[in-house]
Amino acid sequence: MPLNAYLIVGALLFTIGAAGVLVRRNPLVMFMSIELMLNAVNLSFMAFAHFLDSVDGWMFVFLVLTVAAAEVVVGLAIIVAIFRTRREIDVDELNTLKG
Amino acid sequence: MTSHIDGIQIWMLAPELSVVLLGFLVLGLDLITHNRRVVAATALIGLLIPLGFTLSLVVKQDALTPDHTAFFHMLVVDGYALFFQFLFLVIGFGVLLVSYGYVEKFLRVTIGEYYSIILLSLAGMMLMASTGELISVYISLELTSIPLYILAGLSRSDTRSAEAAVKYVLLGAMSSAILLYGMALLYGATGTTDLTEIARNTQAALSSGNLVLLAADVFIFTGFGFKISAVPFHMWAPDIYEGAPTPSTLFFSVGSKAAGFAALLRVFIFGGLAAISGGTYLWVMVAIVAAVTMTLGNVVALLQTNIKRMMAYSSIGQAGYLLVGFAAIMISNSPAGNLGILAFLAVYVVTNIGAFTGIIGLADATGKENIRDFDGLGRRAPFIAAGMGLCLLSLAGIPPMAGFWGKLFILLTAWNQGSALTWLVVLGLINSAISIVYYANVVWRMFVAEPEKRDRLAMSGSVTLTMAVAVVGILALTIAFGFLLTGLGGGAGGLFPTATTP
Amino acid sequence: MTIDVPAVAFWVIAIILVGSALAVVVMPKIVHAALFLVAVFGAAAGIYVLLNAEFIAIVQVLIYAGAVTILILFAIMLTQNSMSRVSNPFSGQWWLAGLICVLLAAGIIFAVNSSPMAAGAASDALPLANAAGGTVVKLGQLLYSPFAYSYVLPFEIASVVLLVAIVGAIMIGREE
Repeated sequence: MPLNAYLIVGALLFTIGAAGVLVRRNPLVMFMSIELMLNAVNLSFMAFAHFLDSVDGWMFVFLVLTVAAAEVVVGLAIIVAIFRTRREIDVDELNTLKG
Repeated sequence: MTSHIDGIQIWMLAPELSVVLLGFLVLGLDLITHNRRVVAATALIGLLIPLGFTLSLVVKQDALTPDHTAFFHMLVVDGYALFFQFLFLVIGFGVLLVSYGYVEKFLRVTIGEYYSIILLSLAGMMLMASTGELISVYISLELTSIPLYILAGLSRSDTRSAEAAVKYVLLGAMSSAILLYGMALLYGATGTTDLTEIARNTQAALSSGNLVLLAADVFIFTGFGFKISAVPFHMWAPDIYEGAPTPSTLFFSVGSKAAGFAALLRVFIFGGLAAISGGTYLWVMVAIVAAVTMTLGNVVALLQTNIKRMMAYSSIGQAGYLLVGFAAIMISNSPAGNLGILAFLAVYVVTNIGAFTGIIGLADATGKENIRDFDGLGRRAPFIAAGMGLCLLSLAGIPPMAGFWGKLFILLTAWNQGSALTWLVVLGLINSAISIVYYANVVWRMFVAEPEKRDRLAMSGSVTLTMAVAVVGILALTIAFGFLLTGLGGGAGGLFPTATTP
Repeated sequence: MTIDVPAVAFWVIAIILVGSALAVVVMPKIVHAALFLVAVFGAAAGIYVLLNAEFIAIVQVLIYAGAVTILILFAIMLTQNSMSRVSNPFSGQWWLAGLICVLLAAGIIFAVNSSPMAAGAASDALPLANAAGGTVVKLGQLLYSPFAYSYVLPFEIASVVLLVAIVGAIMIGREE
């Protein structure tokens, strides 16, 4: 398969994720959409690494996986914490602060 | 390039390393002793150790590795990095000192936990300025950001704080993903993650009109745009600033912004992307973002009733001025623009710490944070009001304050780039005039307006001390602005890759 | 006529990947979105296998399809009081966001197709698999070797990031 095929799949995945963040109002689904974007990034890195014949891209993916998992932990902890204080987690409902 | 890691390389990492260790120490100390003073004193005095290491690196620059890099080009300890390390240590000192009283009253964590999270974020910020490789830049960015998400959500029984944290984490994670996509494209287009090699490869890649490189630039700029709250990525910044505990807001407005600019300039200048932008009209995008950012920031700040929201829009406006300097770099790869940004940041950090110290002082004493709550503060707490007034006037750019010189220098640099940026300079001057209105409004309220209550406010020692340090800092910067420019010249110019011959 | 097995596998996986990603974004029920997210993670691992990166594929399955999914499911369980309710409303301006994203995708794909890249110069060989000692050894050396070019610095910073995440999650999560 040519490099471009992988990159196009990555680009589609990235924009679907971006659309999800912009369109959905539930923080959890927005978080899942961000995970889609990160997977698109990883996919592009892996494709580039393969066609460049360099392991640097692998390294990037490996560390992104690690750090993104840490981000998920903190993000979900925060989302669960806000649900304890109020029983609604729609971003549009988070309007104690005006946008 | 040395082939393996030795003592000198560890020494070059020592400032960041000691900040991380100090963070661990403070966290551990908090478990053993319940004496808040001991923990706070350890953290504040402990910050002198990384400061000493940074100064030792400044003095002994000849003893470093020949090209000032360590860990296989991943750590770059040049004048630019050392300036930012010093700046972040100042920020750390200010934030730790001013938050001492606030943490106990309003937050649901102990002082040691709060301080350790700030210190670890600080280490990330220092690394953001001194890494010369994309993976390290990203990881340092995450080390900076993850503590910031936590810092936003620590208020006791305040739903606004939890909301701010949710919005911050979603926005921050999304911006990281956008930045990473830009880095992926950059890696693909140039075949390396090392910024020095990227600078070499972009020259060749551009001659063939590489659109992927251009897309990578746009994504990376967008990713950092969130961190420095540039329009149109500023959306939630006011919400986050208002909802977060005030010392955390201070930390976002100075630390996160300075770190964002540190890494942005590192990637764009050191990575050679700025050198190629003159021919790609990328500078037009930067100039437009700068124009919209400062105009929106300053105009919307006029309408605010909450002081933290006002300061949020004010900091968006200040980011706009900084982006004017960035546009000057992008148009002609001029070191003067970089010097302007560094000097402006140094002044901005000190004045913003002073302004927020006033806000924290009032919140500490009364728990209020609306602009009208500042009525008559000049009589209720004269020193704090005077110091805060001084800082606000400096932020507004009233001569002969340091803020005026910083703004003047950055606008002059842009003016010198020729007719292409003239409109931006004029807009900058108009914005400066607008900003005087809302800054002066607060000063007027503090010293002229009649207060509801006339009782004297008891300010805590830490707030007074921070204000004193900030006032001394501003006065020193005002008097010695020329020396600041001379001192920073080498660091600002050294960031540009030497082999720029195409 | 021979069938190009890797090419067929790629297209099948790519269609599953993009389809599942769309499902994550449009599914009205949040649990369904989470389940399609697992499919995305799995399909991405499949593509990594096609790229001869078995180790990264295994890590992807362990961390994403395993740990991250479990965390998200826990968060859903803790926050959604009724599974039957449509718990996942759309923003009113979805068409505008959709338009922006379609333009974005078109722009990236155009840029990728029209530009020469450093990566494009190499052939579609399978060189990494032939590295001495295999890819995992090479990856390990690159991750943590003090004597040869390695990513020691980001690796160490990442370890601090993990510690921060642990401390932070506890600070956020504990009851007063």
